Amino acid sequence: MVKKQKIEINHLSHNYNLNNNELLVLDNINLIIKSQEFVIILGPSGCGKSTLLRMIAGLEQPSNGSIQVNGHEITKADPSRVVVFQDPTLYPWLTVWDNVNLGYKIRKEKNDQAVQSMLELIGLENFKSAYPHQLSGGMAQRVALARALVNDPSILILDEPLGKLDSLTRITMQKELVHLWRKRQFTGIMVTHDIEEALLLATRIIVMRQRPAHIIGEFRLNMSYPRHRDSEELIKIRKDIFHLLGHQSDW
Amino acid sequence: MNPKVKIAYWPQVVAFIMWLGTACLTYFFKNADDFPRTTEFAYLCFSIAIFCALTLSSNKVRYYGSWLLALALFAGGWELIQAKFVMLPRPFFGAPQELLDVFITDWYRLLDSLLHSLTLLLGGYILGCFIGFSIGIGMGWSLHFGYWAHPILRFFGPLPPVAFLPLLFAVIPSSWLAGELLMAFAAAFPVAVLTWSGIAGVNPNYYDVARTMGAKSFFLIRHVAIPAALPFVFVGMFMALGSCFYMLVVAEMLGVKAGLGFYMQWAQGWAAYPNMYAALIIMAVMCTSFMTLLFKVRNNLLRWQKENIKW
Repeated sequence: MVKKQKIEINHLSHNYNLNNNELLVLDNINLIIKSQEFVIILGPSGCGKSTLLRMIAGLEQPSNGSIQVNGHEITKADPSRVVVFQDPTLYPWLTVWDNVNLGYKIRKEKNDQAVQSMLELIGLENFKSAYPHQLSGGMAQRVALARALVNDPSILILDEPLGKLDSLTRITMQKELVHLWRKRQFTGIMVTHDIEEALLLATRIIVMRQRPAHIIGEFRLNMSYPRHRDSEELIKIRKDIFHLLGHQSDW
Repeated sequence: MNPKVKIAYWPQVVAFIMWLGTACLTYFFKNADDFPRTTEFAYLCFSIAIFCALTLSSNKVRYYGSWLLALALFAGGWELIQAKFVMLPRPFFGAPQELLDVFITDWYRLLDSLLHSLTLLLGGYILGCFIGFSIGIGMGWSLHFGYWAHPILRFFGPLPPVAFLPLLFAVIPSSWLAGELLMAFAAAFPVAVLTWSGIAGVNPNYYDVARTMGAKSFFLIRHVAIPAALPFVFVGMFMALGSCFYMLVVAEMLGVKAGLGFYMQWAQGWAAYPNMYAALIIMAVMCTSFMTLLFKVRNNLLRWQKENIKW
């Protein structure tokens, strides 16, 4: 099933109230994300990327400007836009199976087939009755991905989903993420501060600068997967991104 | 208990001999005073000796062999010191057969007292836990509820429930109902505070995850907030159980005219100290059974936790 979803972000600004001081965290963001893109927002920590994701998910409302999906303003959270956080945030009191089944339970639906095939897709069908504390970090994050994807979202929002994994697990998970994205054909919006990750996964990279966060650059990557880290095209984009972020040839 | 570890036979063999010895000591040696049920106590010791002999092949029983031995020494020593030589002042210290006599002759009243204590304890505890749990959820979830509940909880919560005792017994004509309310009050405070802090401490991302999948408030409370707070709730319930035991004894000694506490008070009035020991033993069994039961419920509901202590 192909899900046509176009996200339009227009003149979006957002303030935080910090100790009675209005703090501008997002400044005039304009962005259009087309169906089935894999957009990666790259920027330093604490620059408001996560806030932007929360707004696309409908968990927070912007102070100014608008976010629309297919022309409809986002006012609340919806199962068509599911978030995967940096921590797996699996419910520790539920088994792997029940965690993946969460979306169906909330909507009072039953689709054991979908849960089962999702568990098979992430290779954890033998762990379905395990509790989260029995899983490794990578396994837990895979379950979190499964829990999100089983809802068949048209937009998957990924807030540094691999940020806390060790570098080897991370490489495996990057491959897996591309695999899932191609197989399930969702629109991916992901935040990371890892340039390599962005280069390997994205169809488009948005570079942001902090306080207040605004877009300073945009790169389209039309290469096929799997990508090679040392391909000339990637080396060039990497250089440009470093340059954009203020690092010259000395690094 | 690891079944592969070899458990020694000798403690239980010695326990058999010692129980047999205690039985003989009781039966064949003359009492220093006129104690009832001496023959029955000898038979009891003999039965335990037989039990030791018959269960020698059981790993499970043999694990407690040293305890069987220690108890035999205690019973034998007690019989010798008190029944045969009366070395400790009477009536404060009785002989073992006197304790046995209480269980045989007064079992009906002990059972009746136990049932009264049980209803008082269970009723008050369950009511208190329910009230405390509801208050805790209300405070953790709704700012409006918290606005009113928080000051009240802060003002009255730390007050020892005993302080209400004279007032409640005067105002409420039924001392049983007053006792019930005291127990409920004793249980409600710790459960409310811990439920509240449990819910306040839930990882906010747990809610976000459910909300993006379409969850409404009821689902968030029932399936996210409550299970996440449950470990805290149980800490509160254990504290509540402790204060309920305490309140039970105080209420029964000071106002309620039934139950084990009342029985003890009565036994003291008649200087019937063996009766008091009997009531104490029954009370200890009751309290530890409740604790065990609560641990069982907790370990079952919280089996998803990494570590559970064994009671």
